[in-house]
Amino acid sequence: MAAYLFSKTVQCNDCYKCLHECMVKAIAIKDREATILEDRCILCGHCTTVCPQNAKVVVSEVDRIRILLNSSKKVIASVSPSFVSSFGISNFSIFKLALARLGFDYAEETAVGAEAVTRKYRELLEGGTYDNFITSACPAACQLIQKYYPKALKYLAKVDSPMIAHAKMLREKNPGAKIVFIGPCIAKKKEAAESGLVSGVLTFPELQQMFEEAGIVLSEIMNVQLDTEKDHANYAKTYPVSRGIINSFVERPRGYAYLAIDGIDRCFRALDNIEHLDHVFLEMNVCKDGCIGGPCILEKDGGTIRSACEIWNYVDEEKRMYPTVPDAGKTRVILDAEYPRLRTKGRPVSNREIEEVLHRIGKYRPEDERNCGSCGYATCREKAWAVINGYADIDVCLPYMRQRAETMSYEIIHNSPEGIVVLNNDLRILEINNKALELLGIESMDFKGRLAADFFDPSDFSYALKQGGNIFENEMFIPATDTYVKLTVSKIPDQHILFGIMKDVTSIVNYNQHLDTVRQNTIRTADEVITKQMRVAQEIASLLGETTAETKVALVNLKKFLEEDKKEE
Amino acid sequence: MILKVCVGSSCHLKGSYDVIEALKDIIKKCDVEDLVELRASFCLGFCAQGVTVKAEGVDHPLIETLGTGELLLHNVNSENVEDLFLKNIYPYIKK
Repeated sequence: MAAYLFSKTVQCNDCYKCLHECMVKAIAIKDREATILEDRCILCGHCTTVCPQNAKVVVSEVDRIRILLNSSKKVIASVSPSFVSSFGISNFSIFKLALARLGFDYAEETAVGAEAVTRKYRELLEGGTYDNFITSACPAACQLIQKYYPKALKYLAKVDSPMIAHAKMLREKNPGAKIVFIGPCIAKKKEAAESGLVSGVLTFPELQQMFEEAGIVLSEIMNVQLDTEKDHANYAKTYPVSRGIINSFVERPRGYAYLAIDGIDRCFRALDNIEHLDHVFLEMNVCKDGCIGGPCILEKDGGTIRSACEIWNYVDEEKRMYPTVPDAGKTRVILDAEYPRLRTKGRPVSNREIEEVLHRIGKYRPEDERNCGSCGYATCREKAWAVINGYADIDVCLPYMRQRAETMSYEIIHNSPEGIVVLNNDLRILEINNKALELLGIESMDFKGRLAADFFDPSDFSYALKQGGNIFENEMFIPATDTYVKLTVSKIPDQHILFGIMKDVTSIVNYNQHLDTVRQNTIRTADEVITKQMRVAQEIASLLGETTAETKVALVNLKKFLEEDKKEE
Repeated sequence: MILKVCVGSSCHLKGSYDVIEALKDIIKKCDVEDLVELRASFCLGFCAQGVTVKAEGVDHPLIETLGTGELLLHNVNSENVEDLFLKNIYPYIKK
């Protein structure tokens, strides 16, 4: 529906506020992006007001209207009486002058058309053909009935809205003129485009923008009076306020109870029960407090309550100044309108399909369907319908995601091959996983909330706490189970939690010790071998020396003996 | 569109009453009460093929070229009627 209202996907923040707000579920949120479903949307515009990212954008007609104003065509503005509250002026002459400076050839309050609509309503009510009577002035309410409450279509007044009625009347008087409606409504943009009678719709913010760009300041236009043609009090200027249509009757036809329904939730309630009502006149406004609470008003202090007061005062003033005339709203223009049944595109789905979807998000029994509404849909089945039609992601289900997250993290923590100990700042135990219980030799299962010191030596934890820092792979011995662990402690500052991971290093330590023994044995053996070798070498040397000495002695004796023999000869 | 549910003796025995009741609910649920008229019909001549439902005024290009604008569903029961209706009839209702 690029034509009236769209959602900027780049800004979408995945918050689901719009879907919660949207009573007709005309928003699809897939892959974290919201899009507006044109066929379902009734253009109430409430999503534009709740979106925290301002991603819902009303398509501006400013440029188009500006071109129209610059053309040679006669352009007439039809202004909703709610201008009184949005622009804070109660003199239409001022507004007329300001519009003239923008290039409008003429301006009139839409209340002129509304007066004719009220007259038409009166005729129909007096005709007595309607069992119940729903006003057709709010285009979003009409769309709501056309799309979602076909049963109420027979009660919807077959009368033009004030905007269309006024456009018809203006065109009768000014053939060939282009009509631009100015008001606080988005749905009017669609109504105008589809009517072929109204050339464009400016919302109040759009008009404000045009005023600002043209340098027009309303408060500077003072003390003017142009409305010389005014000859009677127009009661229909109360239309933009809730109960305003009911009050626009100078005298209400008898036989009906007159009720004002404002706000889309109340509209739903009234339409749900429409068949149990008898001879009720329902003034239906999709926006709370009526048009003055519309999506394109200019916000100001005092809110809609003050706006309502201002409009009531504006009309009371006129009632005081001018007389009522019996033929108010009389026109030759035919104001009959048709409101046909409109159909949305989403297809109905069978129970079997719904159950398939529900099974995929862990809902097997009726009591699993919690209908919590956190996904934005009222019931689990409605959500399943949206999933099948491609309007919603299946896993966006709070109970399901929570359950999955909890089981996932629980499984991860308790099946981790490393011991995990979580303590709070008082060194009391918050969580210990199975591996850590095994490593620390804790057999009692009643450990939660108790002091860690009752179960193991938490000195590393208190050290980490005091230091405000982390301990990395600090080796410690646990006598209870005769194991060695490497302990890493991290402090999670925001949560006041100490988080310890224990790695079982007993086997590594044992291996290292074994290695040490082997090494020492080798050294000892080498020492022994060296000593023995030395001793043997020394023994051999001493034996050799001894025999050498003995040989020397023997030889010396032999030599001496031979020399003595020679002397005797 | 007119939906005719066979209530001949064979279909009646095979549960066409339940099918009619189920169809009433489904038509209401799909919000097409204004477009679909539900009727009972005497024997449609398919006694061997379970409960038969005949749709007249079917909005489908193929069926239109065949010239009959009619569509028959056989072996309908209160269990499968919702799926059959949504798959074979709902898409071809003139809107």
